[in-house]
Amino acid sequence: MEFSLTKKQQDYVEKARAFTKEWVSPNATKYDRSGEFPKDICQEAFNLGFMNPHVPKEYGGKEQRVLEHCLIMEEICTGCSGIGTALGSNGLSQYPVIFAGNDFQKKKFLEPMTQELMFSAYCVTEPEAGSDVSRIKTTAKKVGNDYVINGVKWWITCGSVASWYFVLARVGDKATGFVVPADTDGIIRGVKEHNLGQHASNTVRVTFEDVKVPEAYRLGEEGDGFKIAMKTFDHTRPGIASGSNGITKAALNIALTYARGRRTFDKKLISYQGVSFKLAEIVTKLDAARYMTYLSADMFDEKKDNARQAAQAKWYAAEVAMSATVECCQILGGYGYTNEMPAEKLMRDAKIYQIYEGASEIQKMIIVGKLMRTREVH
Amino acid sequence: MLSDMMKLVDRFVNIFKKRIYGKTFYCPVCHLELSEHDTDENGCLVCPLCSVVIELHETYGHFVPIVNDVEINRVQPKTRMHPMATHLPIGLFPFALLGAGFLLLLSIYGRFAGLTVANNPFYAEYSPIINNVTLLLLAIAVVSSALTFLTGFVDWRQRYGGRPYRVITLKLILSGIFLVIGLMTVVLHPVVFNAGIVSFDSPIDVLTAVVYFIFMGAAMFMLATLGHVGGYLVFGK
Repeated sequence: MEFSLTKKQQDYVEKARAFTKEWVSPNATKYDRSGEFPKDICQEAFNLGFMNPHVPKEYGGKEQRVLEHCLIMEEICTGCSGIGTALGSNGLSQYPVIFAGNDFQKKKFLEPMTQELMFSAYCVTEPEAGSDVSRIKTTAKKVGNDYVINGVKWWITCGSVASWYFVLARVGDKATGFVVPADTDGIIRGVKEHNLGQHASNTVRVTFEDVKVPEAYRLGEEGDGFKIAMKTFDHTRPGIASGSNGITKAALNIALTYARGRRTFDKKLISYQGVSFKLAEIVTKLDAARYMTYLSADMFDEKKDNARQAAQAKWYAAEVAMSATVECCQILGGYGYTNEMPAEKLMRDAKIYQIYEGASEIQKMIIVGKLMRTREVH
Repeated sequence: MLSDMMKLVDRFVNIFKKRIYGKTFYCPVCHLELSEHDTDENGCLVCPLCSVVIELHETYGHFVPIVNDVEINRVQPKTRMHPMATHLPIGLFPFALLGAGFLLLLSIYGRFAGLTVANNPFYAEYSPIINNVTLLLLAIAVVSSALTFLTGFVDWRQRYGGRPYRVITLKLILSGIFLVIGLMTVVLHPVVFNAGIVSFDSPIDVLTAVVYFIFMGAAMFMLATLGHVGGYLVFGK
């Protein structure tokens, strides 16, 4: 058992930390207030090699391990998880292609993303189908050598800046995955949603009206879609957990800094147990969440089944981030409630981690599902 | 188109701001944007607008301004000369620019229509009046800006304790530039409008007029920025 980072991993962390301090944190408020997509920061992240880390080497990528990606995402999300989501969400749509795409599809859709800054989006969620993906209503009808897709996809991250989409649609009653170029006729991109947090992340509705997609753009066989969509989460959930850990780390640092500097009743705030114990709890929970995250990522890298560990990490890290940000605001008192301090933004940003890529309740269902197939827990 | 232009202007302003201010943060009490360089050797600063004493910390690139005191006995000058003086150049210079612009339009129209002060009664009667009024407005605006500069400097020393806020440094620099450019326009004005209207007879005349109008535009920009920054310093967001 090894608990320390390798030299290479430590280098990644330091590079990502420097990038966060220089680019992400100083611009977090700006993008949170404007709701603009942080393309300039994504460009810088692309130049530094922080985007598209999972693309295989033969298609121009670095084929980075998930664990290393997690370390980087944790640093970036300590600056701003909205920006982190904007520059990390490519992975969610790329993985179905990496996992189930053929050589032609990988060359066509993955390779260009390693050459210039591009975005892609994962179109699975629908207004009536969130956690329960099997309820999707989007259809794909076979017409000659093409499929014609009709339906509405909802809360699509990077939906209005994407160059292509991974789309889950029903062919008859079989959920099937497709890669759809964004400039195909019949695709209508909606306006940006005004969400509670992560304002830098571009979340939109994408409507498909008689969108013709060649058969060559279908991923795997008809009916493979659900498996592809779900398998993707084993890969991405450790990254999402790292985002939560980044938020927790930011909340901890801000609360700690404030508690050390602020005086009340002629004493430093940190000298009160009511405050200092909160910090002790946050840092302990952060370490626990981190180890769970790193374990789930490492298991994926070692090609082990990490479904339970990824669900545990995603759920627990999100809970820790939410409670840590609430406590951070509490420690800052009134200043935690004003938008001129970074604390309230963290609380708004943290909430989504309990919801997207499978709500916390879904993660528990996955964990229990795995437990039910286990004779004994060792 | 308009939004693209606004974005471009915003980008330019941000680059300029980053150079002058470095990283910025907001006063958590009055929301005034302040620079990381506004702090003293102890990492503290007094907010120039709301007077709270801020202890500035940075963690992971996030600024955490901590308020531990308020400077309630701030020196208040009995007469606030600067706010009054500042409205003289701000009020007069735009009209001087309008006058110069109108004279330029008359000159261009006259050039194409063959109208001059010598052969047209309207030009003969009105262009010297507009010219004189413009020069007078320009001269008063520039001279009064020296008074504004002086009163502002006194205000900074007394009211703000001479603390080196970046926003005040910016005001001092811009005021100095305005004063120099403004004086140049006063000197150039009689040369450019020596015949009441602009003479396009020689390349030197044209060049002088171009330089004059560039200076006028630049001075107006300085003045507008100074007014905006000054208003921001007094009223906040």
